[in-house]
Amino acid sequence: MSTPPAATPTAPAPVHAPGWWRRNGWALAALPVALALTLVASGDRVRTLWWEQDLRRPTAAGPGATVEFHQDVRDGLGGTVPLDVEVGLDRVADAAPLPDGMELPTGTRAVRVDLTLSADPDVVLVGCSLAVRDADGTRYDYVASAWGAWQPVSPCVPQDATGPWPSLGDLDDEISPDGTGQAPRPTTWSVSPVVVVPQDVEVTDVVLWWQLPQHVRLDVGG
Amino acid sequence: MSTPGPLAASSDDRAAGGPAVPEQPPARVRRPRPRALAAGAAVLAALAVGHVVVTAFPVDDRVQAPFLRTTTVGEPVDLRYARLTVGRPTGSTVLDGDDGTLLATPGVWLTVPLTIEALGQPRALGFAELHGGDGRTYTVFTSGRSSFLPGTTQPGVPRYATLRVEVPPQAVPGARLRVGLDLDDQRRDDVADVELGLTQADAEAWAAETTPVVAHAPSDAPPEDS
Repeated sequence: MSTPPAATPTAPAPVHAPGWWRRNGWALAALPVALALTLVASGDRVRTLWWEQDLRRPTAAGPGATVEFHQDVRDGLGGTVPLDVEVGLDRVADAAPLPDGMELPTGTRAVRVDLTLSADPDVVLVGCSLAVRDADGTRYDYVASAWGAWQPVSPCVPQDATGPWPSLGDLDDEISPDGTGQAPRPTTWSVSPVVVVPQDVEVTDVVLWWQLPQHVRLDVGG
Repeated sequence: MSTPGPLAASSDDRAAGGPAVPEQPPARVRRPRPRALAAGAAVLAALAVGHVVVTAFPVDDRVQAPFLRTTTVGEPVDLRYARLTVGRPTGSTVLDGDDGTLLATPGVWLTVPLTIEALGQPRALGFAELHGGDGRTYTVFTSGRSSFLPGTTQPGVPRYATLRVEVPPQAVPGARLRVGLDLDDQRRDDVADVELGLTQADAEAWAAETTPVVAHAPSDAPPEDS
């Protein structure tokens, strides 16, 4: 360091002001947070209008495997009811014979989905929906009354022993004070709903759900 | 804020009897700097411009408008959820609802056959309305006489349905049909806009027609086969 010439009347050594990045450091740090909050605030309906409108959260089982599925199902009375069930896909095959009265539209075939399920007899399982899908993800739903046939409304429980129905609150006792009159549902049972698909469709997986977006996905073996 | 006046001078100054001249600079009062003022004004201006943009232009309607897919009779139109083919409309003053009842009208019963091919998953189309050539919109399904209830269409299984709408004869020439998925909400979704190709001659002929026109029940089999 050399001493500056004393004779030169220079201005005081310049004090470097903090740079723009340093002065605005806190604002820059807050910017990602503000952007995230903006997206959250503007996306308040994404959940109800999009996420919960389709099959989004699978509980998957490989070919031949059994899967345990749990969901806290909203009961419509402000609470939730736990749903625990074990599901296994036995096979998917052409339905023969067809359900009584079924007349297939031109260019279609019927496939029978053999499922084995296990659950406590007091778990509410009626109200389930079932569908098969092809490799493209196109979904073909089980329809209880269509094409001239009447199949069980709930494809996942025995028709003559459905188990309990969802509670209607205080109306339960007035509607069926003595229960449904059915035998209790067994702890393990099998069902074989029939789904109509276009003739050339190969079923790659079976989906079963109670309340979207959660669902059980059962892959069909190759 | 202003600079301190004499009252703010120190007591030493007053004791000396001299004029209230401060020996040291007064406590510094921070004034808003011009840059800060300019920044504040810029923020306010941006807010004002944003407000004008949002309110002065009808952007809400355009942002929420359905995506109209125009087509004509016999030309399939691909929508997000289905492929739709509209057949040739027919009309009469009497409608055979395919359920054992006949409905008469002082106007015209217009029936439009549709073929629906669902895409991706089963779809139940529920929205239809007729934009009449008289400038009025005729809703379908709300009254129960004019109805469009095709039921659920499975992918790969075409569904054949007939839409029926009761209109005055002057609505027939130049009428357009709109068909969509959701009865209550067509915002930001595909809606088919079908030019039906109807003329004044059609209106006059159908207004004088007494042979019932049949509105077939929806089916997965073509009407000719059922």
